[in-house]
Amino acid sequence: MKAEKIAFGISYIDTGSALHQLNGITKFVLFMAWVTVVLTTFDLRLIGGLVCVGLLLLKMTRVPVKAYRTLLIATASVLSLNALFMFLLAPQQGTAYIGSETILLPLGFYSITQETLFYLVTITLKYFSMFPIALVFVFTTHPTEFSASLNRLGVPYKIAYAVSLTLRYLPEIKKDYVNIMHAQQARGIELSKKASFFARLKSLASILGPLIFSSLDKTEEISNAMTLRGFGRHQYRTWYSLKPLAVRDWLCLLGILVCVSLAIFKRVFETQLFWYPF
Amino acid sequence: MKLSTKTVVVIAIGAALYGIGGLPMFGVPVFANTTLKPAMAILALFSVLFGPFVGFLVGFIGHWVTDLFAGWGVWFTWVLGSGIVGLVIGLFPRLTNRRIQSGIFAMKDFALFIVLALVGNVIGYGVSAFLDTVLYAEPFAKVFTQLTIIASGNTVLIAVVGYFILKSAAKRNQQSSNLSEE
Repeated sequence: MKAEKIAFGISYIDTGSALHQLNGITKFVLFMAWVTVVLTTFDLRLIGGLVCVGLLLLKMTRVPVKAYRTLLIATASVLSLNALFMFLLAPQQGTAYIGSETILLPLGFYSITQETLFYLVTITLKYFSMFPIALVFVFTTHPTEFSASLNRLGVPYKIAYAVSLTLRYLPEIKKDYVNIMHAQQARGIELSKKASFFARLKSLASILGPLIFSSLDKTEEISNAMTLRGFGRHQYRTWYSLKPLAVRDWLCLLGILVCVSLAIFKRVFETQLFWYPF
Repeated sequence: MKLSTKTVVVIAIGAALYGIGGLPMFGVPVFANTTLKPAMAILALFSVLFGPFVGFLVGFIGHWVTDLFAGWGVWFTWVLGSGIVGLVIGLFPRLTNRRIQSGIFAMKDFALFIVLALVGNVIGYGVSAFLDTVLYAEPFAKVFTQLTIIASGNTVLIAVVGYFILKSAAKRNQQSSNLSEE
């Protein structure tokens, strides 16, 4: 088993699309604004719109569907399972929120009402609407540019740098993990499903231990290298990957501002939490 | 706020370890949207060794990385929860006078470690669960079940995996602290 064969989620893919050319700041603001709008609303029309726009943006990245098909299926199944559990544990939640009751299938405590179905669809789509935008953000924003944007938006540069370092350290950990796993397996530690749950937990510690301690040893090296290059001497720092905001970025930011304020206004002046047409 | 270069690197490496370790391939799914993450032990270790501030940021950045790269969208309520777990467990060195640093890991420290893990999980993910009911209108019964499972599961997990890791951490520190002059 080679290190490259183990897929560790998704990562930056440069396809040079229009979204890749947008500034990292714009994309980060878009991401945060998106999450804010999703959090404020329980209106199926708005959520449906967000899902469509999100999928459209995902298509615009020109990343092949193959790169995220499994994720799409996994997320969809996780969310359906989530909805199922919400129904099993609180079957009358929808009725409680919407305030009316139209029974479709009487089953006593687990009666299926139109309101509950509507509620479950709304919540599930609400969760799902965050899926495409997270993919868009990861596919189109280079990690270093992301940290530069964080710093530009007011996060202290040392913390922004920690974020960048985190992202750059991920491949290193992958490599170490696989090496240590092979070494331990060669020493006869059972990691497959054949071992019992607690035996596996214990053998996991035998991988985590060396992994953590070798990483901790590296902190010394890395921080010395950074200090030697003058990291942390000044109050501010500049970023090689920080691009100035272009006209299209300002236009996008303006658009985002309008959308977010509209969403917040809508929430403040709305009388009912859920939009329910029936 | 004074942050040394070493702290920045420690936060980054902790967050990277916690972030990768939290990916679903290492998790044990137990309930809807709920996985037991062995990586919780990493968060606990970094909090124990470096205190509440590092603990919070390792939890926050690490969970953010997990959510982003797993591809299911960032669930801020739970990202914040992980941060608080790190913060609470990070009280450990203050409460034990940094005994781990001098190579001592006694039974009463282990007991305190478990208590902190439990309290941290209940408060941290309790905040997440509460925010879920407000922001996502999730049924209270569901998030409460999630919370109970996560808090108890994580505590057992942190205790078992954490015990071995902390013991070897103490042993390593001991090697460099109990030198005697000849």
